[in-house]
Amino acid sequence: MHLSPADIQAIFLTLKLASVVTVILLLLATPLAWWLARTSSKSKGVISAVVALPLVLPPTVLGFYFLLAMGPNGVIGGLMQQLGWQALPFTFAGLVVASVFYSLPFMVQPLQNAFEALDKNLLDAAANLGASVMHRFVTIAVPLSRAGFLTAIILTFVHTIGEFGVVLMIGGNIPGVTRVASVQIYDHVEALEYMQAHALSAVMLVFSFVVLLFIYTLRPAHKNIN
Amino acid sequence: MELRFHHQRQSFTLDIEATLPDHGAVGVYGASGAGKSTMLAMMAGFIQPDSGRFNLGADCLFDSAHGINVPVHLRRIGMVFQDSRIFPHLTVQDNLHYGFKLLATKDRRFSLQQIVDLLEIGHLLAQKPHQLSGGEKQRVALGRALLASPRLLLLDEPLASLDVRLKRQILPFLRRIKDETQTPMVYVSHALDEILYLTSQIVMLDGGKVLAAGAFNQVIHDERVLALAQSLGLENVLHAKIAAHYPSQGYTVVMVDTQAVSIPPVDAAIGSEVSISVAASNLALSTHRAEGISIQNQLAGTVTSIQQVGSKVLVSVDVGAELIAEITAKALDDLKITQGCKVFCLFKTQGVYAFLST
Amino acid sequence: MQMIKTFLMQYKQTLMAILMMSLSSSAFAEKINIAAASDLKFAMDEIVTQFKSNNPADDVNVIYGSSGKMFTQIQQDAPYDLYFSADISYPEKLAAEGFAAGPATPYAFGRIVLWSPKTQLDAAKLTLEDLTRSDITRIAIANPKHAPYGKRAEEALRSKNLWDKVEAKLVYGENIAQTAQFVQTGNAQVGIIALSLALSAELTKQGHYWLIPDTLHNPLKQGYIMTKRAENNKLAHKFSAYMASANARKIMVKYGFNLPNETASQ
Repeated sequence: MHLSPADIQAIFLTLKLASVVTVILLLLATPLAWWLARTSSKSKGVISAVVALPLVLPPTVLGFYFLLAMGPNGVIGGLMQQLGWQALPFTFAGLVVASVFYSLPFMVQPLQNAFEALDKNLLDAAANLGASVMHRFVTIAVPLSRAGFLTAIILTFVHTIGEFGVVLMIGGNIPGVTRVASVQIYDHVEALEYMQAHALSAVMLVFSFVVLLFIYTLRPAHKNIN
Repeated sequence: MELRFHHQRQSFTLDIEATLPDHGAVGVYGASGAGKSTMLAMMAGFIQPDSGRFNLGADCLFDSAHGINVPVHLRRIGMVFQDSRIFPHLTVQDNLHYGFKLLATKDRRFSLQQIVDLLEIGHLLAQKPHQLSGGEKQRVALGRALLASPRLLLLDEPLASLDVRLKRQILPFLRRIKDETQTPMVYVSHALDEILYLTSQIVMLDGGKVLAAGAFNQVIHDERVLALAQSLGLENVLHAKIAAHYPSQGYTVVMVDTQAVSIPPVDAAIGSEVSISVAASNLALSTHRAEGISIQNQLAGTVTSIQQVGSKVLVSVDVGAELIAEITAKALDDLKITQGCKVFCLFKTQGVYAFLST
Repeated sequence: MQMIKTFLMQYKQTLMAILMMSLSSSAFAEKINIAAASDLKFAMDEIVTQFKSNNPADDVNVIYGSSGKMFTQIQQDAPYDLYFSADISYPEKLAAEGFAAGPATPYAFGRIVLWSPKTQLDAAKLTLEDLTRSDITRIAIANPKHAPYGKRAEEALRSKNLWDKVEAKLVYGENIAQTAQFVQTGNAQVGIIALSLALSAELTKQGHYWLIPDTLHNPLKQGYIMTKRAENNKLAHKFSAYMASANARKIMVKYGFNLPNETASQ
């Protein structure tokens, strides 16, 4: 099996995208999941529905709306143009923004489940010992939600790696910028380069399998800790 | 400390007003649902009362009229819960250190070593909570609360989930804490013997209101207090000294004032202090010293008061300490007991619980 | 579980479509599925509408997509009866491999144009050289790796020695329709697309085009085949004959296609 430099570039780009998206989502989704797990606000239903949208919507719908919204005539694109920022479609930043939305439920939902399962009494006990909200979160909530964090991070990472439809619609297939592994495989198939498609596909298959195997064999051990 | 809490939730109204001593321990006593735990939760800041105020020493921690509500983590009021709430992911040592590390060095009143010695938990430091017994967990919870150097320690039924044997193990530690750490304590329980073992200062709650507050032997003569104590199982708690051991015959003799009392065997040196408790319902009265009877304890005393509570009568007898006996109205008539009578208080050796005052 | 569900949701429509196609095509003879390259979108729609008004009982289905993808699908026995490729080399290969009921037939020559919405630029006044201008930052072309129109766009740029200068500005559409869409939405300022698309009612309204001289690239010789499975399908033969009719040819010309003289029914 042989991977061309373009294939390797696509793999690294994919890993970079997945890493950046995972880190950003971790920062965004953690407070959101915390809020969803704790709130009794009426807007919880609406927010939950928006978060879950990417689970049911075809990626093409997302990609289509992103392309319209981020374009110079779109709401986001127009605003960015006025601010003198570079338009998002066909850029790495654009892929990141789209992927953040696309993978949002994969980060939020495992975290929300973990936070909902937390014993609130332990947080009260920590407060009573002098811990501020932030300190309670870091020293009690996070370690007790370890399994949830691990699941959320891995699912987000692999889901972003597996992203295709949205990337195809807003990426513009630029080597080293937006041509991720899934698109590269598609191009190989389209160009009838089946051997190259096989090689890259096999890498993706093995990688995804190993990651999922890791989750499913490691998770019970984490449950015991909790 | 001074507290006034008003709180209305569905059918339950809490209306508490009390001034509690700033030193030593206060027992809060009442049936379940009387509002004991709610009162503690309001003092700690977990529940915000609809209105009222709470002053601790010179500090105001809550005042609805002035919009003051100091958050839980800034109150420095320690709390020990019925379910220890030890952090499951931390070792015993890290649990103990949790509040301690958040304190400025100058505010730390105890060292880890002091508390570990006080509560005898040195051998547990490296363990994880799931390896601990219920009694050990409560001792760690106590230590964790103390190491945060609280200005006030709240204990919410800390022994309620332990069996009798463990209770007797933990109680002396609570007494030690009270005597050696100078930390004021509010001890909530529905077991009067636990409270009286620690303190004679008591607040009685009933239906969300303060029924009585003050020294136990004073408030107990209030009929409503007595009725409440009665319904929850009235206990006599006496201070005594170990006088002799008779292991082969299965008992230990202690002195209450000048009178000898047989109790189940206790593992403590002669001369050491011990608290014993006898339920009022386990006491019998006799106008003469009984002969030919298996009951070992017959304490001579003088009747100081007689109170009728429903169909029962509570007779207070001074035997060098105060003992309350619960008898029936018919027994009172038969014996013709009146105030000032000489009587004997009879109770079985096995009816006595002893707590070592380590 | 969730991932499986997501997967099924994403591909449900495709799976259903394939299922229904295979069921219906075996049940009724008077029905055909046409696989057509994206550049034929508007022309073929009009031809089929005309054909149906003349033959209301016949059921003609058109699926548009990239020529390369459809080529692979036919190799895997996709239920297509006629295959109109944007590049005759695909049907020729299928014929050589025995997937066709007859030889590949050329039906048109495509043309490429520079196209831009009026809101961006007036493409009618542009030439290929203008693509190097600094105010043009994004140029959309179809992926030259597998899309015939993309290959011709690359050839045209190379023959003007412009490829290296504009390569960094290029974004690649998966097929020629998506390439047009990149420009239409304003995400690329200008694109090299099929004349047949630029002449559609929609794009005519939105923008202008400049015809790229066909001397700059190899001819976009488009061809079609009847697949093996359609050999005995009367409707397939009927439609194939209709493509050579004056009516159909008129529509093709209207959309900017040059027609090969030898196009005739077999």
